[in-house]
Amino acid sequence: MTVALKDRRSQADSQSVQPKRWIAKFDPKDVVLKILLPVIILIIIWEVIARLSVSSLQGIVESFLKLAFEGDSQGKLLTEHVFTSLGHVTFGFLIAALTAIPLGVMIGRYKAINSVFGPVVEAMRPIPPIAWIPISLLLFRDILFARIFIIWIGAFFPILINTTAGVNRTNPVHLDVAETFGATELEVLTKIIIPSAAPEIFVGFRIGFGIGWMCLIAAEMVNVNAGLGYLVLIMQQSGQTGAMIASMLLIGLIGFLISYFFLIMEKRLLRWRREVSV
Amino acid sequence: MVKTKTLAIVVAVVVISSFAVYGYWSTIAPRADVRIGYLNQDLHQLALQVALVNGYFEDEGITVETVVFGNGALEMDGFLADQLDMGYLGAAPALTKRLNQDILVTVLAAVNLEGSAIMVKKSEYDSGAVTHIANLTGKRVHHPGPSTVQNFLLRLALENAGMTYEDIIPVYTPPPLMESALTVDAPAFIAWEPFCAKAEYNDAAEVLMNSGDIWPNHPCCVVASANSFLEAHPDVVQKVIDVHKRAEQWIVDNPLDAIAIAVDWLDMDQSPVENAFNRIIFDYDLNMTGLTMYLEFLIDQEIVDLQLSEVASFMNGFVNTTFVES
Repeated sequence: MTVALKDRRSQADSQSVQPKRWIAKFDPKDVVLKILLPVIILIIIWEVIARLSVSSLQGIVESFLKLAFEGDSQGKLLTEHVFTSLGHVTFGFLIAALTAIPLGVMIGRYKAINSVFGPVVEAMRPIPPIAWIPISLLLFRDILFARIFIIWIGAFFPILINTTAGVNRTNPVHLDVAETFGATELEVLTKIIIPSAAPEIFVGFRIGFGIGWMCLIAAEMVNVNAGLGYLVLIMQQSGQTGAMIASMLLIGLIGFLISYFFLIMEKRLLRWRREVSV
Repeated sequence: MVKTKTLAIVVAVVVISSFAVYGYWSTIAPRADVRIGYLNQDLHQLALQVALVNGYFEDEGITVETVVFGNGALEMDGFLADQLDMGYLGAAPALTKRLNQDILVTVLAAVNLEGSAIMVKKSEYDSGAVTHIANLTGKRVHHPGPSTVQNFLLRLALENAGMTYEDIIPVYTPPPLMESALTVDAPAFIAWEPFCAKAEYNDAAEVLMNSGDIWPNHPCCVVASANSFLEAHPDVVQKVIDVHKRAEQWIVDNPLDAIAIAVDWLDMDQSPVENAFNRIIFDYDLNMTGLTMYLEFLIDQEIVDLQLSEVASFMNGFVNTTFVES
């Protein structure tokens, strides 16, 4: 072993023994740029919106607290509305993921399927979810399924398209090596293509859930008596602007938290991907 | 790189110029004497269509620009945004948004009384499963919102049958989608015409109760004016109210011709329009007792923030019948 290699090894060993210094990583500039400034900008934006809507941030906070502890005019608390909406969107998102990933893999992997389904996807994708509401009522007699369908429409296409893109991005060298070593199609799909496409699939999850979450208003327009989308609609109808904006802010906050959750999951589960790329 | 920059500059100049031209054009284009809002596909507001078709506004020498809205709440937002001067809308959104958002409008005349119904899914009605309001126990019933007159009517109907609002599962649905949303578990809805007659005509639903049977002569739609417009142009407001009265009277005196105008306006068949028309009372005199009763309901439900002791003084300021009485 050379002296240089010995020195490098001892350096690496000493570094690995040192405890992580969280305090050393704390940068005041980061706190200002990443937390303080965005919060201040958000407060300013929403104060302007509240004033234009004949309300105020104070009115919004009061409405939020009233919804949280006393409920709406029907007595339903904010937590019930939140969990109802989360249930709708989670269900719709899961179905979207289960349907979009296999289809995306097939479209990305097999040219014939891409030729057939590619144009169909491109034609259906631009139709906004809200336009599907009357159709969903005719397609699904059960209103829950009709609601889930609207969420599914919102979440499905981003996951599908990102999965397809991820599959297309698979390194051809890896595929050649697999073929050389006699891997079956199933092994190629499960051990090379899907892991390779995983980062794009995760991006699809984040975008898909976000769009599904945005479809709440559309999904909760019919045959509903709970949910954040429903709350926004009836508060707008009765002119309770503070409560309406509080519900909108909550939709935004929950959407942000879920998106952040997906980001954390992506970084943890795909840590190997970054190391390989380095 | 230079080409891209040039292209970007050209696009920016075109876009900005377009906005400038549009802005300039908006200021020089002659504005109508009055901008009147109304609700899309609401047969209650037939008087406005009659006035437009028969040329009553021209007779009064005023130009009109009509602005259509999806519902009364949006129309009140239109008042707030100065998109209209006067409007045909429900008394319910006019009251709730006047109080909750301080949108300064004054109600000047009634447009109609009654004209709603509780409808039940035809298959449930024919099979005998739901033939009386008591059969709705535990069932989902579609309504257009907790602050609407229809919601109040539903509560009254339940109360009259010895039931409570908690005996059913009330669910919000926009009226145009109510017919499609009927199921065995959600077999009924309450809405205003022509959605009830449409569902009946399409063999989707049967009438369970007309709103006139629940609350005779209940208020529904009204004509309102922005306070600023009322103060600045009382003469124009008076002319609009005169036109409105004339149109309402014409409807009462010429029902078949009025139905013909409605058929054309709503783009529906004659039969459902006729059925819907016959359930509506076209009258320009306000039912003040009814409006007050409804406001007390809103206070009780904590939908508006007003004390019961303040109701009389509020109504004095909110309603002005001098234009319709003159």
